[in-house]
Amino acid sequence: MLRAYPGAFRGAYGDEMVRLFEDLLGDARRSGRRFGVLRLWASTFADLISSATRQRMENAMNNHPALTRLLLVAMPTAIFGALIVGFIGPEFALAALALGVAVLVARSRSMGAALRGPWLGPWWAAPLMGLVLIGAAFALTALPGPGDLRWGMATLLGLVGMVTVVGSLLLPPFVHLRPSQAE
Amino acid sequence: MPRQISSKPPKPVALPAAALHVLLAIGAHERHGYAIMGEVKRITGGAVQMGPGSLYGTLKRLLADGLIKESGLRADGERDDQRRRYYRLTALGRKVAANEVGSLQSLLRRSGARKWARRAS
Repeated sequence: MLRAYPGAFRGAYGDEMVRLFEDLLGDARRSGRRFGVLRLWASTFADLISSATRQRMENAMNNHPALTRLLLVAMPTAIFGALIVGFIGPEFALAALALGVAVLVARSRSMGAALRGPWLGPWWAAPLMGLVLIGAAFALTALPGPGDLRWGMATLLGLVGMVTVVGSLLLPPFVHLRPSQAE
Repeated sequence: MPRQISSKPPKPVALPAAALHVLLAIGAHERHGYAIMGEVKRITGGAVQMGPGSLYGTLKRLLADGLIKESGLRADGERDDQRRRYYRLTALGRKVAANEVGSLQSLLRRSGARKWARRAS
């Protein structure tokens, strides 16, 4: 079960966690409560799922912050965008793109700083890429070809460009802030 | 020119509940994981029972934030002779815990906690 945790966490705390579980198991057996051992296994398994997920998320955020944030923001945004296109209509996707452009311009500095992690380019590289994708989305709508396919691809490209903007708005809750180490 | 002293109250530290429970459970002592878990259960009246994963995830985060530190490996004579890792609060951890408790006490005082206690009983 410990293999659910990241390797570094397992290496640092695995032995202690096993010892703690053995202590709890001994207590459950000595308590004489009905199904005490079964309850312990059930609660430990539930704790394993939530804590291992949290540790894996923190690991991903610390090692690949920009990529993880993009994935966390891009996936629900793309799903939401697909729902808009599928059920409401592609015209609403244009409104979402326009909003994305406006917010991108307003938050380009912070977005560039937030995404600068794995990229060695200047701070404006990420928002510029977002603008290019949104521009490409608009250009796609003017090209000849099957309307549904063009609108679908334009919406997808525009959403990816907007993801960089939405990411800058959602980044603060994902940042693990460390207080001053001064004692 | 005299220094401007802010009249605003200090900002409360946004400490997760699990972290505060662990800080209070360690308190002025040095405790290992099992003892911390038992103390959390005791001070919360059994309402909070942390699992091993949650406990050590919280300990890892408190160590990274400098609120606790390890105080060595040794056996707990009351339980067995296995060597366990003990933890204690740092000065920063004591300050953060005190701030958090102070904020909660102010909140209870200002909100008139007694009337809530009467309603609950």
